[in-house]
This record gives sequence, C-alpha cells and structure tokens, in this order.
Amino acid sequence: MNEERHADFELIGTGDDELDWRLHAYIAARLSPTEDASRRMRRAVVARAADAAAIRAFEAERLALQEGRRLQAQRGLSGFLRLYTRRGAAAFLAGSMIFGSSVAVLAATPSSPLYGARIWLETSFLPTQADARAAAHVTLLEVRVEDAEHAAGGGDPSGVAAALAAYRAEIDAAIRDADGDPARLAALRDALGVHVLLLEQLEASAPAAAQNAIHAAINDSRKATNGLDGSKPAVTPAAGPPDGEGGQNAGGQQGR
Amino acid sequence: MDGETLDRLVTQAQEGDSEAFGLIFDEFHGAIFRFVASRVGRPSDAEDLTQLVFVKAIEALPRYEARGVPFGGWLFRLARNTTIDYIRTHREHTDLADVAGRATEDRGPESITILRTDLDAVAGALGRLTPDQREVIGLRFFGGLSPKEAAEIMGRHEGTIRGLQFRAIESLRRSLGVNTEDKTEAG
Repeated sequence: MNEERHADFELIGTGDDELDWRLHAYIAARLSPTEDASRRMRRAVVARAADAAAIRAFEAERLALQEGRRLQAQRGLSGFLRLYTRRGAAAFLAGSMIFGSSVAVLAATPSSPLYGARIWLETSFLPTQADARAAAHVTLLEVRVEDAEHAAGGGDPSGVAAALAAYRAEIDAAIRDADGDPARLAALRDALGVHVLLLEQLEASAPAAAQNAIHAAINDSRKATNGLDGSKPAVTPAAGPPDGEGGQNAGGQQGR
Repeated sequence: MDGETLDRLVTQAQEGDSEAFGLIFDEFHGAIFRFVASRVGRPSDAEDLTQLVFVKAIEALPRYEARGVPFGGWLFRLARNTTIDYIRTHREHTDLADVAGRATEDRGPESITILRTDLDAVAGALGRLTPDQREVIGLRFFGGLSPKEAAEIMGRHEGTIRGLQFRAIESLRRSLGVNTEDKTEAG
C-alpha cells in the first residue's frame, strides 16, 4: 500500500481493457469515499488518536506513580520485615546454636573435650537458695560418680579420672556452699558415705589405669566425711565390704 | 509512501503522534473504504466502518509489531474482520450485489456522466460471484492488495487466490458481455 503499490492498484488490470475500465468506473462512482467523507473520517480518526495518546500518557503517568508508591511502600514494609526477619533469624540461629551446643555439652562424656564445659554449665546454674543449692551439689556428686562408672564400664581410664576430678572439686564446692549449716553438712556426709561404697565397688572392677583416680576419690571423700564429722581423717585406703562390718568403716564414715 | 517512511510513521504513531497517524490514514483510507464499501453497500455504513477500522487500529497500535506482518496487511485484516462482524450483526447488509441500487446522484459531477445502467450492470455481475470470489475481487482490485497479501488475509494459499481471481474475472466478463476470447493475465 505504499506509493508504488498504490500505482499498482491503479494499474492492476484484469487483462481486459474494457472490463478494467468498467470496474474502475464502478470503483470511482460507488466505492470511493467523497472528499467530504474523507475529511470527516480523518478529523475523527486523528482526534481519536490524539485522545488515545493523551489517555495512554495519563495512564502511563498514573501507573508510574502507582508503581513508585508501591515500591516505596514495599521498601518500607520489606525494610521493616527485613529488619525483624533478620533479628528474628539471628535470634533463632543463636538460640539454635545455644540449644544445640547445650545439648551437645550436656551429653558430653568425661572423655569428651566438652566435658569441662559441661561441668562448668552444670555448676553455673545451681540454685541460689542455700538448701536447694546444697541438694543440687549432692545430685551433682552422684552424677559425677555415675560418669565415672560409665567411663569405667567403657574401659576409659581417662574418663574415670576426669569424672572423679570433677567429683573431688564438687565436694569442695559443696562443703563451701553448705556454709557450716549442720543439716546441709549432714546430708552431704550421708551422700559421701554412699559414694565411698560405690567407688570402692568401682575400684574393684575398673581398669588398672583408672585405679589411682578412683583411689584418690575415695580418699578425698573419706577425708571430707571425717572433716564434716570432726573425726580423725581416714588413713586406710578404701577396701573391704560396704556393709559396715570391720573397723575400717566404723565411726560413721560411710554415713549410714 | 515507501516502507521506511511508513515504518517511521507507525513508530511515531505508537509513541502518540496523532498527526503521524493522520498521514497513515491518508495513505490507506481510500483502499480500506473501497474494500469495505464493496461489502456493505451504503456509503454511510462504509464511512462509519472505515472510521471504525482506523479507530481499532489506534487501539491495537501499541501491540502492533512490524515483524513479518506488513502494516497494510495488518490494517486490511482489521478491515475484513470489522466488515465480517458488521455483516453478521446487520442482516440487511447489501454487499456488492446490492450496491447496484445505490444512486449515483451522491457522487461528484464526473460520476454522473457515467451511465447508471452500466454501473448497475457491474454491480449485478459482482453480485453473481461466489462469496470467496467477491472477497478476492474486493481485496485485489478494490483494496489494491497483492495475491500474496490477499492470501494471508483470507487464510488461503496464494495459488487458491489466483484461481479464485481467474474464475471471478471470467464470470464478470461473461456477465458483462465483455470479449470472452481474451485470456486473463492479472495477478
């Protein structure tokens, strides 16, 4: 429909001059727009094109404004969410790490590198109230003995040594926190008596490499018991039956 | 108007230049009007429909892409669809055959000199064509499209268009009593 084609249109023929003439006459007379019609159509179409362009420009401006507002709002919201999401994520991560680490630490066996951390954790969160704290010390002493037993059962002499070292440190802390209170000291003494019996049994079955540590723990436990009683310190190594027969356990050293 | 100029005008019109669209209208409106008028008969309807075709073009222009679709073909496709829709909803359409009854008095002085009976004869001959033949004549001779463009718009093969055109011309020659010994060479 370019100029050439328009010329082609003028030249398009049917191959018959007479037919071409009659068709073209027909087109000119009945199928072509008048000048007035062409002007009317052009005016209306150009006005419509101008309206459409104005509407599109307005719409584009409105959309741009809307998009700007949306982005601004999104930035505000996402900034808020990002901030709190980040804080939340960090808190969750920290919590997870603390929880995971705590679980790992609290599950640490005496031979584990984390055992020291476990001891620290367990002793750091003892109750502040004196009686409750004293009772917690007793519980921890029992836990240390159990640790030693488990380590011995696993053929782990260094684990036995670590558990009993903690046990001996716990005795000192328990005596210190008892603060001379007779009731608390009596409860501690009874517990230590039982521990001596348990440690003596352990000594009999533990690996040779763990014997020294067990022996030292028994001695410390006895010394502490004697000290709490005001009786003379035990001088004999832990040996013999735990039923209190014989002089070695006399004097209430076992506390029961 | 060459293709490059047309492409530039289309781009300008897409960017909101209404006068560029006016120049496009100047280029195509005659052919579109002839094609539409050949289908609907009444000049006022042809004018309304031609205007509607260009209005539709304005609305669809932002989506028009030149790749593979010449603007003229795209515009004629709009014209054809608009005309088909009109004919479907206006059963009283006259089509080419009914254009015969249209008075020549609404034409300019030149048209009046043409014998009305001869125009009516042409209209009658066109009316005796099949619908496909009439559409091919409308696109090729009234719209000025090439056989290929007409084929694309009608969704037919180019060879089919040439065949329809050949038979249409033969039919017109017979109807109008034009020398039927000559061979048709158009296309």
